[in-house]
Amino acid sequence: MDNGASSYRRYLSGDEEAFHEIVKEYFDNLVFFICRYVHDVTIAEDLAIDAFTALVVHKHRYNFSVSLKTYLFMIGRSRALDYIKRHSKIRTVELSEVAEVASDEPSLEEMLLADTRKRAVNAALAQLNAEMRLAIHLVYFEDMSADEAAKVLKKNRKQVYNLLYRAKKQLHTILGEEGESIL
Amino acid sequence: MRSFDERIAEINRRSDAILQRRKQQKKRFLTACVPLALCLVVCSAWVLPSIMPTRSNDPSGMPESVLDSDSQHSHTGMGAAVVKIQVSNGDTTQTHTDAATIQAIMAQFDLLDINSPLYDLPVRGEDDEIEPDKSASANGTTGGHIYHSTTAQYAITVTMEKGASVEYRLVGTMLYNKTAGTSSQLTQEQLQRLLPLLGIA
Repeated sequence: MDNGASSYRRYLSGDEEAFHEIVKEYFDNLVFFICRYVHDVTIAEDLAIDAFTALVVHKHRYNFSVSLKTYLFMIGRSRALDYIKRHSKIRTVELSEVAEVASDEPSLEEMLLADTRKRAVNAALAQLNAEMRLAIHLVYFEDMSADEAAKVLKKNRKQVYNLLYRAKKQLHTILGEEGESIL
Repeated sequence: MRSFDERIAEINRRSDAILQRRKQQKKRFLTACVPLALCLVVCSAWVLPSIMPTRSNDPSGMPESVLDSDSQHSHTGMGAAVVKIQVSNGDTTQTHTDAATIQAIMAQFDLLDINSPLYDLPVRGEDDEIEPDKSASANGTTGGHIYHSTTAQYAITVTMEKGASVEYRLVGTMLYNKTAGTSSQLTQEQLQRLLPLLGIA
């Protein structure tokens, strides 16, 4: 599994279908990740589209030194932080947010977190601070290595290990014995 | 949430818009900068030659302007800076301080080519004095004037404003620049023009 690098190579050589595969594979996960920053699934979706657009516009910026998934998440994080910086002064409540709460359709989280244990962890993550939450998200929900997570979060490996260690300890107290088996 | 097709369509729409905008920016940049660059090129082509020193064919590679200034210092061409010209035949000395005379003498020196290396300058000691013109002294005409003969030797000292001096030696039809180490063969015509100016005629 090359995390999309071969699909992207095919896309660069002119295969449009390969790009569709990439979108299918990573779009929802990227939205879920961005949602951790912006707390709004519509905005997260918009920013994820931006991240994929960057992949199309700046075709040769990706140099295959990291996996495509890691690269996409790096762009997604950057877009999310830009968005937060721009909108930090104005707090708005989107109508779609209200509609989503009222909707009977399964949410993105519900779709992605079919596993009940993962859902329990996801619920517990709300009590962790933002950095720990993101580190846990990347390693636990996206199956990234500590190195890949470090690249996405712009931290070094040691810092990510420390975050994971502290997060694990806190999850242990929140989830009890179940938290022990996580990570 | 958008459907898959909607996402793809949105990605394509945004990327097309960005590429279009980038193309327009590039076009605008070229429209603005090309005339500016052309103006700069034309201006520099106009202005630079007057600022930059011109290259000469001199093997040393020195610009002509520098060579000119060097030659002015070592040889002639310092009409304004020259304050005094002394002409001596070892016995008598004539001093020219008149600006018009000085300018005329320096103009004659300018016309002479004395850039060939010095090779047959008579070797003299520091204390050697130029022999007086025997024929002239025999005639009892020493004192106020120096009389020219084909074998006569004259020391011509050109003194500059700041005290620097250039020493020439006129031996027959040869003019030596002792300071620069150069010499020049004068034609009879040149000699005839120079001698009256030096007061030797």
